[in-house]
Amino acid sequence: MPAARPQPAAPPAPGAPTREAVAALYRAHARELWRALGRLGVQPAAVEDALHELFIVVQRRLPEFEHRAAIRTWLYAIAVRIARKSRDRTRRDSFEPEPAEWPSHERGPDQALLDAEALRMLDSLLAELDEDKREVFVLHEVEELSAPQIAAILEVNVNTVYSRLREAKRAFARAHARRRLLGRDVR
Amino acid sequence: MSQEQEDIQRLIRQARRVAPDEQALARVWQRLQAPPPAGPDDGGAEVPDPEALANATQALAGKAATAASVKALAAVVVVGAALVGGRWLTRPEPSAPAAVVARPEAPREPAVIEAPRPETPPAVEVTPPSEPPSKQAERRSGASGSSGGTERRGVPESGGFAGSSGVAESGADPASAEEGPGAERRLLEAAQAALQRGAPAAALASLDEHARRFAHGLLADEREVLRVLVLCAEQRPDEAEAVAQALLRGGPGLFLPRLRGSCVGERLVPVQRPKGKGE
Repeated sequence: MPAARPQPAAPPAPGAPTREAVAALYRAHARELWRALGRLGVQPAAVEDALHELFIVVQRRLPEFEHRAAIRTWLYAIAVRIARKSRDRTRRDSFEPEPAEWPSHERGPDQALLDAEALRMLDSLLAELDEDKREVFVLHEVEELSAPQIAAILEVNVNTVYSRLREAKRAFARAHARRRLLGRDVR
Repeated sequence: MSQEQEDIQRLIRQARRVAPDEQALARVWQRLQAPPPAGPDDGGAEVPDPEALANATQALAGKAATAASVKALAAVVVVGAALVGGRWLTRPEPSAPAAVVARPEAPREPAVIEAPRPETPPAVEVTPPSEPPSKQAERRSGASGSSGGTERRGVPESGGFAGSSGVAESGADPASAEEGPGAERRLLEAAQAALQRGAPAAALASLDEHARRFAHGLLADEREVLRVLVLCAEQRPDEAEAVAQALLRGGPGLFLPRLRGSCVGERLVPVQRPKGKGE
């Protein structure tokens, strides 16, 4: 199911009742935020709670939102911070992710399985990036946000975004090459 | 596009297509119908203030607009100079390369939701990064174990991924380039095999050879993980711990699960105790 782009017509009108506004935001953005939380390092089993937490914050803070910034930027800014908190919690609880395997193309035609494997592989490669690079990489490459949007979300300079993105791409390519070379034998 | 780059792009395309579990989305929405929990904070997430975010967005747009104006002015000056110069020489240039202004990356969507303003797209114009590669390499802090060698070399264009060729070039020493990355792997496999048959000295020799020939190779981190295990097998826990600590300092802790099983595992990570009843 293609879910890459949100429905564009969702920004709630200023002054609209919060409940309806949150519903509109949920309809328009919950899918992409779900995806972003996963790629930003929230463990699969925790994404549901993280999304809930995110929209709790939206419910609480939406009345302050004056529509001078892009609502999508704001939502991603919340998602990034919730993902950070989740990663911290994971580290504290000493969660050890299952070792990912290189996706095998010999396992039959089940595309869903291949997609799931590829996604797991992507997540394991993302996990090799430093956190600041991972955030920029995911927001730009997966979520297709622009550098100014990412700069606003992360509260950094735009040139910092560009430089982190360059480094992230290099590190990602290196991790990819390394993983391909390593296979599963050298453990 | 190389095979490696295609693979990366395929992974990213698949990530963009990820569809959430619709039932889970419905469950979350159901949970949101309950009144939000009381409390002044946002659960510790340090959520940005909407007002601050708006100001940041507008400040960025303002800076970018200034940069755009300066650029446009510079372009006019340069074009004018080119035209005047051409007249002086009575031999106009076939083209005016100076007139080509570096096109900034267009935002994929307007950065600000407001009434559309004609100047909005250029307002978020951003000066493309023009930092010299050497400066970027210098700026990299705490070269991680997982990418130590690469970052000190040249930086590829920001448009795409470095790809396997760039990685391979930066990852291997010139002397070992002829042998290719397969040699790296073979050395580590030899070390692994020696360790498994109880010959840590032979394993260490293979690791040292790898370190000599592929100091910043793609598998440099793997080498150091193996070194920890080999040093443990040689009853040299202090040295093993030093190697392990260096590995963990250099990256996001990916090797921790494997190191935890080694002789220095408990030195690296405090023992995790179950949460007490009072917590």
